[in-house]
Amino acid sequence: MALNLYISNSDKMINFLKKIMFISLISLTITLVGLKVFGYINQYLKTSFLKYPAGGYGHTYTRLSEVENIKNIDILFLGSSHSYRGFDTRIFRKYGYNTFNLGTSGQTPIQSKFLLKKHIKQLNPKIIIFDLYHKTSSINGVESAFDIISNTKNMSYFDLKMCIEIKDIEVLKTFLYSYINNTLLKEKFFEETFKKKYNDKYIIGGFVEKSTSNLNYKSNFPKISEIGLSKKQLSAIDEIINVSKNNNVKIILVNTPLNKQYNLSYEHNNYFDSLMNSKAEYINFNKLNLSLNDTIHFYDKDHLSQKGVELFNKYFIEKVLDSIKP
Amino acid sequence: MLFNSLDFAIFLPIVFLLYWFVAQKNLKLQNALIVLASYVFYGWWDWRFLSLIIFSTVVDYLIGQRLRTEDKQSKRKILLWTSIIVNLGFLGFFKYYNFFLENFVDAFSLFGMQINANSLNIILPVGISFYTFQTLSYTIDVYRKKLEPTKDFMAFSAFVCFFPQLVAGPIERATNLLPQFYKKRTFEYNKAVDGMRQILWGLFKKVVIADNCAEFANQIFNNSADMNGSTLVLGAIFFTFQIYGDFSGYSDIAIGTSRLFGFDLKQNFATPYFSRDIAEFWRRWHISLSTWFRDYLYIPLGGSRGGTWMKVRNTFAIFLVSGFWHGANWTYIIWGALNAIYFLPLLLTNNNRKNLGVVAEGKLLPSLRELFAMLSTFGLTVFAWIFFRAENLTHAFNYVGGIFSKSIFSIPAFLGKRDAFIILSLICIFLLIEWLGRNDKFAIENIITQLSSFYRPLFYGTLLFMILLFYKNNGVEFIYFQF
Repeated sequence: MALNLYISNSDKMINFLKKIMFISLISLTITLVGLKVFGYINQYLKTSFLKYPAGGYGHTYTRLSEVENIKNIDILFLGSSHSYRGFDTRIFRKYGYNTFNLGTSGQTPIQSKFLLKKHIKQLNPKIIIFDLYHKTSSINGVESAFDIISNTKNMSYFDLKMCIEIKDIEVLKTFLYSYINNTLLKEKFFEETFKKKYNDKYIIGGFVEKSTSNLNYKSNFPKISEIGLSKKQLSAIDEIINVSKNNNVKIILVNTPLNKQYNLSYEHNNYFDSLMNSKAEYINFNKLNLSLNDTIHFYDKDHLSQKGVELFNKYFIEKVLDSIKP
Repeated sequence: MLFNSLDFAIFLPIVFLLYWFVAQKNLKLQNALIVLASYVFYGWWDWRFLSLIIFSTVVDYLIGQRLRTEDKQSKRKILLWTSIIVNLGFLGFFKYYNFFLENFVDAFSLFGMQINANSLNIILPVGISFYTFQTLSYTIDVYRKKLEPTKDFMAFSAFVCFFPQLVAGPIERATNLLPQFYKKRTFEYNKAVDGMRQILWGLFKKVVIADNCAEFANQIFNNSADMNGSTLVLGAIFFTFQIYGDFSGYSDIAIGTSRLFGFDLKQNFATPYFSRDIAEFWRRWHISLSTWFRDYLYIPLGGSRGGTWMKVRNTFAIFLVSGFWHGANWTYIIWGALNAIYFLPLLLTNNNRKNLGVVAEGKLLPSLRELFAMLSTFGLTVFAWIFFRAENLTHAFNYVGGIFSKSIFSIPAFLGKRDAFIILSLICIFLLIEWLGRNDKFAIENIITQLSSFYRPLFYGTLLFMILLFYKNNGVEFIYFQF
């Protein structure tokens, strides 16, 4: 009797679980169709319920499309806009370096890690230059995830893993929508060579050139003494270093030049520098004398103008790269 | 751990499978698993505060054991007061220490005396107000000899920390929940399915309604000085639905989750915004807290017996304490006082038990009289919520002042925004479903069963899709976690 009761209970539970599985499948189907329909309508409604910044700021779509056809490079750049606006691939080519700039807007170490894992075999770089701006190590990486996922044509296991690691349901929603739109249905995208709104021009190899004479110089920034580095981001940095080592790739952590006044507003720079120094070879260019002028060589508080990029890149190649050339 | 998080989405199936497949044959093992799962659930937020729960559990268990053998009334009273002092002592320290200290200092400064007293940086343990009241109900009922003290420590621990309702209720009575831990639970298919439906509806209320309303309510309340009167009214309405969706959604998820494990918790909300007077509202809003105060405070004080003065005193006592229970801020006390003021005329004219049934029972639509009664009660409730939501009394009075100005006749600033328009439309759909399901334990309970087996999965799928689509990562935790 007791055994029968147990079996019957188990059957009930199995039926219950089967029903849950069935409803999950129906729900997944409704969700995929519903997201596609809502995504279409939302092009016109422009609500905030579905974050899908495809073709947004920073030419991420063009860069992530281009990288799929790139192989065997000398240098791979990773990081935020400081990277894709700071390392001009044309200048490096002039000096004989074949490079690709895989920086994206607000890219945090978590995104850098998955982009690196996704592309390292195919790009096969000799050196990785990983820009580490402490702000990107202090945030959760959700905004950057939206940018990357929305602008990826072919979703991979690494993109899914990135969403899971971020543990954000909104990111998961964008992932599902992008998967249907970009990967399954292969919706046609757009050309984004020149963004008039931002005066941004995409350069082959991932660099974005800002053609502006409108310099937004400020001399006063409030003092910032707090630093809230995220444990997840710090462990992502460690993993990036390990991935590089395991693939026999030299990695250099860098902190690209910031507007001097802005940089001085941070009181914790030494702490960040010593932390990064303990992890790998690290260069903070704000501590070196590059003769950069806040009004001429920056177009805002933390981005170099084209003149600044030229000066910085020349310095970087001659003083850093040439010294480690095999 | 939040109910609307990925962590809980992984945690719940694991505990469910272990509970029914591994611990199914052994009651003690089932209870031990519940205790372990509940400690993991609570410790996910901050494991250090588990010690408070464990301490309260041990104290109340031991006091229960002593009350079993103690016949002397004076000693029984000492035991009861020991439990009350320990439990309310923790609550008082963590929740009210700074409030009393600051008000004490302010009061002395009024008389020109300066006192140097530093407030402490105290973290409020999540759910302390809920589990404190739950465990107190055990000691009081054992003291009153309404309940036999338990010998089963594991069952008692599970009763105190039962994870579905640990951090935000419903506040269960020992007389209802504790005996359920003594009985062997067998899996009931219909109960589990019903539980899943209630979880789904709770998630809809929390994620779709509450969190989206929160975004606008926060924008309006945080910038109230710059908003016109009509926008301030809209902000109060958004908050009204935020708090209802948030708290009743949590209760639905808690009750539904309990059903998955074979437990029945008491209904905590019964479509309160369709109430025809404030007395009815309080019979339908946070029922587990209202009845707790009724049984352990209002009735011992004399209830509605005695003269007018006694009635007024007891009514104010219960509403002020209820307000203060929500938080150490004068805004909650004023919110409680306002509700007492709304309630008193009904009590004094013996009209407080006029509307005991469901509005428009057996009819599709309410009469004009009922509609007017509902709207006016809703209006009073919205007004009181302003005090509940405001940062402090100055903010609340400025907010109210902003509403009662000429700008109340201007167009609300948020109506033009597409997101706000969509959320207002969703609130209308939500109210319609709540109206149709107003007779039931939760709104979609019978609506679903009336659908054919073909449409039912589609309905579930559509609800899940909406939960995903309208999910906002705006960091809004359940409001009642802070209480």
